[in-house]
Parts: sequence; structure tokens; C-alpha cells
Amino acid sequence: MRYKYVIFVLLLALAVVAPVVVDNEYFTHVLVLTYIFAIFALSYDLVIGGMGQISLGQQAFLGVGAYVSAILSSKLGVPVWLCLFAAVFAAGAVGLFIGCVSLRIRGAYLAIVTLGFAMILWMIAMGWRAVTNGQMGIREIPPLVIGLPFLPRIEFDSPGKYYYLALVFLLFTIYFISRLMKSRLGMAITALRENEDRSAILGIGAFVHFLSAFTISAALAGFAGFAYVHYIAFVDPKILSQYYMITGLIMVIVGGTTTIGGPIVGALIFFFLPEWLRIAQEARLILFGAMLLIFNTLMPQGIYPASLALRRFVLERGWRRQQ
Amino acid sequence: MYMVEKALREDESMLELKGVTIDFGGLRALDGVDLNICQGEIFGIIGPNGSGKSTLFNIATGFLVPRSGQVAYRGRSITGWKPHRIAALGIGRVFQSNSLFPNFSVKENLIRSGFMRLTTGFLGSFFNTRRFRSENRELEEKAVELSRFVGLEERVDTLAKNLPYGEQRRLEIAIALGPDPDLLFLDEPVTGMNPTETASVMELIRSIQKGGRTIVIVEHNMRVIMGICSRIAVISFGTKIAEGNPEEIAHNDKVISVYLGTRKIDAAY
Repeated sequence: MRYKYVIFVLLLALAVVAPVVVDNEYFTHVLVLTYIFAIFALSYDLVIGGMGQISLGQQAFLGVGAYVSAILSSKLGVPVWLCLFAAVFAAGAVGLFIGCVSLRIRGAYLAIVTLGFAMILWMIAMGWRAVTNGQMGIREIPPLVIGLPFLPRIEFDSPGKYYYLALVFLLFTIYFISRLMKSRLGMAITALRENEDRSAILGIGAFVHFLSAFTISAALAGFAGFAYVHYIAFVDPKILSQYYMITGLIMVIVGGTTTIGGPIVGALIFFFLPEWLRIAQEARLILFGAMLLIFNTLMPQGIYPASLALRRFVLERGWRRQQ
Repeated sequence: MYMVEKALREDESMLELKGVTIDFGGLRALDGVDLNICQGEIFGIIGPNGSGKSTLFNIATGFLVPRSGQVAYRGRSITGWKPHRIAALGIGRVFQSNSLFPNFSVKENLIRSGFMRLTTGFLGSFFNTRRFRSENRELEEKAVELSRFVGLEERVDTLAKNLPYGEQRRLEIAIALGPDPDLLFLDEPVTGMNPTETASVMELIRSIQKGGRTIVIVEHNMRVIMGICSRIAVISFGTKIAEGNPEEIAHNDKVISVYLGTRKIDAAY
């Protein structure tokens, strides 16, 4: 147990000094994206790993969070931190609505219905030009600012400045998810995932708990959307496209479901592997695809759980040799 | 004998099924079944395969809704209620096939079985309040106590799916006891067990009843049924054909004919 905390603190220290040591703005930029999408992947894993359900509509909540915050801050001039609450609330509300309609069914049907809802939202973003600017997207979204009295005003308008804020967002999410999984709701959804009938006879109703978890997951994805849009300062309907759903799925599944480390490792792989593969310029994406395939075949449970198993294996063998 | 007579008094009725009927695609699985289960007894339900025993359990615990008829618990109609609401009233169940949380340890299985005792919401967990911690500690203590009750105290950290079959069945019973039910349905608890395991589960069931719980049991093993039940109902082709104490059932002609067939040879001569 203590061992785990030592590793966590070491990794955190590494994350804190990384941009200083590397001192490359592009590297910092990729790390910021990694953190933001790690939040998105963690929110997705709440559905995939936590509830054991397949939703293909997580991008809808990322997009709602991003659009709500973008519209409010750039068009109506609402202070950015108020936009945070609006984005999270709106994404949660959309999640609640979609969940109400779709969570009565399971399996492939749930996947299709959630995908359908996400596509509807994409159409709205494309078509409702007066509000969303359609395909043009919304530009010049104000950056996040902290303007406390007696302290210098900080504008998070560059990767170097945004980096630590993104790290704080990610840390909050990690804490949030770990506490959620220990809570009554976390116990309920994991029980339902394992065995729905058995859970019912223990007094755990499926619909109400799935709906709560789905709504929280949506709100968290909205939070990721908020963090993303104020960093990139631009949003277009692509954020509601399947591209982001696939991105999240790859992170969750390649990294490993039902763990907190998994989606984070997945996000790191997703952003940094293509960067390292730049040495083979033309074959970059082919190699990337091939490596995802290899990861998934060799470690079907995900990279993070596989590495934990490997560590256990090595430790046990070392222990045996000593005997 | 006194216990049985006391239990049979009308006002002590715990679960009452009246005229329960259900069809599966044109096949009548249960046809007007009446049952009255009394406080504190061990009630046995027997019958040939496919006679509708498990269907009866599914109706009583809310997994199926009868086409007609009434289910009442302590005088209150629960017909058509969802399983988790029925469970909240204090009705527990052990399923026929293994239905544990396979990827959780014995302890985690048992902790989840006490879910209904948890009252702190997410904020309690988020701030890790004292109430949240003490509630979780209580759940853990109760889990260890339950594991001891069914003789699994040395297995608390084993994953449920890695337990041998007999211990899985014991764990199932322990999970069903987690919510502290007043009425417990056991669906073939000793199927596939050897005589020693069977005897120990019988002992377990008796001790559960002595703890003040009412038990309804479906079982094919006649030694078990005859050994522990105070009353038995026999179901055949969806209808109740007999009800009474073990002695009466063992000598009931209808029951014998259902299990062994009628003496057609006599009729032919």
C-alpha cells in the first residue's frame, strides 16, 4: 500500500519537473493534451470499466462541455470560471437525459442509441449556425484566468502556463474517481457490472445507479471539454465526431479498463507514440495502428494492468530465489 | 410440534401467494398456485424438473411478474414490484446456478452484500468523513463475521471464481444473509454436493432458521427436504398437488405417482 503512494509521489514529481527539464514548448503542449484527454478517458472508463457498459456517445458530453463554455465565454462574455460550472452542469444534464432514455437497454443496443444521440448533437453543432457558427467553429475563446485580489493576475494562455493547471485538473479527477469508486455508488455499479441479478436481490437497483454514474461520467467529460476548449481557444463540430469517441476508447482499452492508471497510460501512449514514430514519417500512422494491435493482442487486459501483473511476477520470482 | 402449530396460525403468515398464474409463450408454467409461508418455518417445495419451482421463486422475488394472482408479504401486496425493492423489504435469495461476483474476493463479495446498510452518499466518500469510515469498517466486520458463519474465514482474500464448488455455494448463502433477510429463498442449495458437504449445508440451514429467519427451499435431494422442512408443497406441471408435513407427503399417493409413475401394469391386466 505504502509502495503505491511512493510511486505516485515519484511520478507526480516527474510530472512537475518535466516541462522545466525538457524545456520544449511542443513537448509541453502534447503533455497538456495528454492530461486533458486523460480526464476524458477516465470519464469514459467510468462507463466502460466501472459500469461494464458500452456507450459510443461519450464525445457528446465532451462536445457539450466545450461548446457551452465556448459560447458563454466568447459570445456572452460570461466569466470563465462560471463557464466551468455551466459546462459541467450542461454536460451532466445532457447525460441525464440520454441516460434516462438509453440505459433501460444494455449491450449493443445501448451502444447504438448513445451513438445516435451523439450524432444528433453533431448535427445541431453543424446546423445551428446562429449560435455555433456551424462548420466555421468558434474562435478566440478567452483563456482561463485567475485574478485573485492582492495577487498578480495569471492568464493561462500558453502551454507552459496551462501545464500546471491541466495537471491540477487531472489530479482532481484522479481523486474524484478514486473516491467515487469507493463510495456507495461505486460499490453499486461494480456489483451490477459483475452480476445484475445478484445485485438486485441485495437491494441494488440497476437503473438508478447506472443513471447516476452515467450522469457523473458525462459531467466529467464536460469538464474535459471545458479544459480543452479554453486551452485550444477554438471549437468546431469535429469535437462531437466519432474521432473523439475512438480516441477515448483507444485510451481506455489499450491502457486498461477499471483502473485509474489505465486510461492515463492510454492517453500517454496515444499522444506520444505517434510523436516517437516521426522518425518513420510516411509509415507513422500504419506503425501506430500496428502497435495498438500488438498491444491489444499481447495485453488484452490493457498495458497498465499487464505491467502490474508483470511487477507482481518479478517480485514473486525474486522472493522465491531468495528462499 | 408446538412450533409448527404456532407457525400455522393465520396472523403469523409471512408470504402469501394466491392463485399465481404465469405463461411462457402459450405454455402455462404455473396455474393458480396458492402458498402460505409462515413465520419461522422451513418450507420445502419439491416437484419434477420443469414443474415450475424456480418460476415460483422468480415470481416471489420479483424477477417475473405473474399474469394473474397476488403475492403478499406480511399482508402487503408486492405483486409486480422490482427485485431490488422486494429485497429491501427483507427477502433474500440464493440462486440455483452460481451467481456470485466472480472477480471479487470473498470479502468484497460479502461487503457488497451489506450494501443496503450503507447510508453515506458520495460527499461522505469524497471528504472521507468519519461516518463514512466507520460505516465501511462496520461493513467489513460484518463481512468477516459472515465468512466465519459459513466457514470461509480462511478464504476471505480468495477470488470467488477460484473457490471450489462447495465453498462457492456456501459463499452464496453468506451473501444472501448479508442484507439480514427475514425470509430467505434457497434454490437447490446442495445440488452437486457430496454427502459430507450436504450434511454441513443442512446444518447451516438449520442454524440460519434458529437465528429467527424463515426459509423456503427448493431441492431435489429428498434427504435434505425430509430432514429439515416443517412443511412441504409438491408442484407438478405448474399446479400444487399436495401440501403437508414430511410424513404426509411421503405417503401421499399423488406424490408417489408423480415421482414413480402409476401402476399402469395393473390396469392392463
